[in-house]
Amino acid sequence: MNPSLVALAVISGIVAAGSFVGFYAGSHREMNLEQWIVGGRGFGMLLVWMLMAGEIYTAFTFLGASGWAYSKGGPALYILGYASLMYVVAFYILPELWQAGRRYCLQTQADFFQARYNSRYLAGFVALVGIIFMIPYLQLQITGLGIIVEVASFGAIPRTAAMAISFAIVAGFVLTSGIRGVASVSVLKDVLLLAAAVFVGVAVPYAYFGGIGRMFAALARANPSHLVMPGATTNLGHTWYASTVFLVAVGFYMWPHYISGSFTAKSGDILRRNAVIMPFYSITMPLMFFVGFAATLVLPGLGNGDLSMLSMVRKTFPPWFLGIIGGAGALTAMVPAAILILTASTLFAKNLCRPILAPGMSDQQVATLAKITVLVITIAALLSAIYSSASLVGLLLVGYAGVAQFFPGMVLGLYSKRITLPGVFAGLVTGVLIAVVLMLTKHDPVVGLNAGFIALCFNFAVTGVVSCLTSRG
Amino acid sequence: MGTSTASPIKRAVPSGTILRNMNRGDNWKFRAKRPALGSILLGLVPLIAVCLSVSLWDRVYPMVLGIPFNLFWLTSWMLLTPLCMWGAYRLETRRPPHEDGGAP
Repeated sequence: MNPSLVALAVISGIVAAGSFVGFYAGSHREMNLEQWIVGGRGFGMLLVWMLMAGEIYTAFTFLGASGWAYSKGGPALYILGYASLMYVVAFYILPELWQAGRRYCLQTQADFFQARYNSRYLAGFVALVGIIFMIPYLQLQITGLGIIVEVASFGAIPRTAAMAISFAIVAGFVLTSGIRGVASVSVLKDVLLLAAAVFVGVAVPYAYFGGIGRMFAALARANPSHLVMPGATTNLGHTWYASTVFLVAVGFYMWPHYISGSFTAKSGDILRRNAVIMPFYSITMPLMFFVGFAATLVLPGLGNGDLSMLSMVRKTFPPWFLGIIGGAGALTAMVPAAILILTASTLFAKNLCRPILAPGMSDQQVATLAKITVLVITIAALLSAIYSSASLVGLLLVGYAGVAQFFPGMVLGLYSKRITLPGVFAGLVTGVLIAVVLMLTKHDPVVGLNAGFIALCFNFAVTGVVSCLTSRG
Repeated sequence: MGTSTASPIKRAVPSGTILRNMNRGDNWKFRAKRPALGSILLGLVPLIAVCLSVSLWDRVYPMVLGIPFNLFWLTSWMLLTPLCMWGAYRLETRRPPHEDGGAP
């Protein structure tokens, strides 16, 4: 039988099973906005765990980590660095944010800015910036999915068709089931992905080198500088590593969808306990690096590093196994994409459109508008994925540089009364402007530091100084 | 368990009341609880270990368990970070439960 048909049949089966779970999860519940975006604030330890973990293992982890290990080498280690540190940040912030969320019935990140600083223009601006920087992250998921289907079908199915079909499914279960659908599909995809990662990460070094130790011995002989920073690059050294790990660790829980996600928990304590144990879950990430490193010797000269993981799987295993990996990978792209779409459309309808453009809208109309926006955002991200060629890690770092700029307004605002509206507004505008200008003019890294980190430093300074000048007493 | 945060929550809050509450211009009365000094110190341990000390451990040799030293170091901190934060969790939950900032 044709190997591409076998692989595709398995992928389609897995995606169909995932979609069924997603549609079923919300089918017996009435979907008002509160159910749709924060699941009625009733998720226990297990669902919160699955939701948070589901957001970590994205198409980026699956393809981008091995991709950078392949094409850049040592600098890819920053992924392992932030994988531990972001939960340290979450440990301190999320339980307090959850308390505030329950007290003021917050559903989105922009709601927090509205409640804390009492300005619909700041909240609208936060929503707008959030949506803009979620698009590259969404694009990353779509591109990743396209890569998976293209490689798994041995090129038989064009990337564009695969992206369009799967994102029609994603939009479908976001519309019917909201966040509950997303959390339920997470369970399936995590089981598959973890099993696949462990198996591939161990099997590939054994198949080609006779063991993990032997593989690294061979790598260290062939090209030792690839294994340390700056690896295959010239400008991603130690200062870049430290500033990037810091930026991503503080920026991670500034993603609008993670903030809404943390409001789904039943209690703040659930979030804190989750933050303690979560790093264990990242323990399979180094295995993705094994595959990327192995590919530098086994498959040198791949044009696109993001292809290294699946190309290795295709070269090493039978087609049905490629299908399982591909299916797990496809769900891994679809689950975070669903959360991104859900959050971005709620932000648009609730925090941007109603307060500023149409104050008379009822809650029912906001919910309807959010659902229409789901379709608009899906199509926008799909188009930008089709017409862009940025690498997966590149897309992710643009997103982080942007959303990390919310950190001063959120965290200083949470802990200190002296932070003022003009301070946060000025800081946020400064940070976003610097990040965007540095990124667009290709000044990243600049003086050896991550551009988003530099923007964040200016943001902190401006927020602090302007707050001091404008606070009364 | 732990803090007393698990009090019953109103399901299906009508979201119209939310915006009305938020737009009324009442002041932000929520006061976040600052973490204990001990728990902050415990959180600094992973920050120093995986972020700030990078030039000390970014090397191939000595390989441990067949893995380059930098990869081994970061992987082991995925296991050690939860230990630090478990200690911090113990410190946080031993303190009095959260004041919701309700006092005027």
